[in-house]
Amino acid sequence: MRQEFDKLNKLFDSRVRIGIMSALMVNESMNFNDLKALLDVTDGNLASHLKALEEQQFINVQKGFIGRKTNTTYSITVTGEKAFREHIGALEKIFNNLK
Amino acid sequence: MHDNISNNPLETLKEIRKVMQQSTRIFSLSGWSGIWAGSVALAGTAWIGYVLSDFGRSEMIALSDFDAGKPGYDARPIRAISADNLQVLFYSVLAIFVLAVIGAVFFSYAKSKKEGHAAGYNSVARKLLINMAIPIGTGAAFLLKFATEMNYHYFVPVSLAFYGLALINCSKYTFTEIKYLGLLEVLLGLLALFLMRWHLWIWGTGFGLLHIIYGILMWYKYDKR
Repeated sequence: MRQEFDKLNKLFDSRVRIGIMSALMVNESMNFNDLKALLDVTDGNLASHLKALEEQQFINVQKGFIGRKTNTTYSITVTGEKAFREHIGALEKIFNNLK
Repeated sequence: MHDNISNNPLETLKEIRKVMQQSTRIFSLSGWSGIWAGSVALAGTAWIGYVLSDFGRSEMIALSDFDAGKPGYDARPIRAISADNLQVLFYSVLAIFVLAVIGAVFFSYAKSKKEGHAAGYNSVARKLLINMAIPIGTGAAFLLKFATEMNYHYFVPVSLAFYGLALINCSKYTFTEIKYLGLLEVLLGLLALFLMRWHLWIWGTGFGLLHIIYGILMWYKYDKR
């Protein structure tokens, strides 16, 4: 039990980060506004969490334009997908032990 | 909004599942949309039958008198549809389509309003519409070509098959059940290829009956509360 808790990634200790990773697991890529609407958070809040995930190289950032407006899209990296799967696995193990 | 996730792993797992679903599918399509579209199509089919019988003045013309006159087949001569009636038919089909779509959109809009827009709604809705529009647009191009050539032999098979493909294509962005409705529509379309004299009945079954049954099932499963 103890070691399962250790396996939980501290980086995923936030509702927004869990949300970002979940959404990017099942979508090829998502842009900033779609993520913002999905997770119901402020610009600043979302941006800081995205930054943290990007620094860990869990997500990729692609800056682009639609007309003159910037359109930044995000996608999950192999590292990120692996880390998130492990996190989910650990959660499931803990849950099964609690039952 | 608090940011720290709860310590309960089940709650977190549920949250992950919810975000994954909400970011990939929309569930606003109402059962009433199907019931409405089906009812419009059934009434429309009856009206088309009435037009095809020259407003009750003669026996109903099969949409294709394809096999007429060939040896070994029904020897009735081909009775062409009058140009006036043909025009009535064209606008009738158009009106049925528009009425069905407007109603279906209205009921779904009402449902999404009632439930509050699921987050991430717009990007998924956009994908859903694009995936639906491609097969429907392609089918519509065929139908227009048939109409300009005044050739109605394949009107029913093509409209059912392409509509079915559209439903199958968009099923990954909404209720998966819609895939089965799509498969049935495609099957009916293929069946119509071989049952030329039954076109009107098959059309009524595909666009009318199946929609109503689907609508009732979906209403019962998801909307009823």
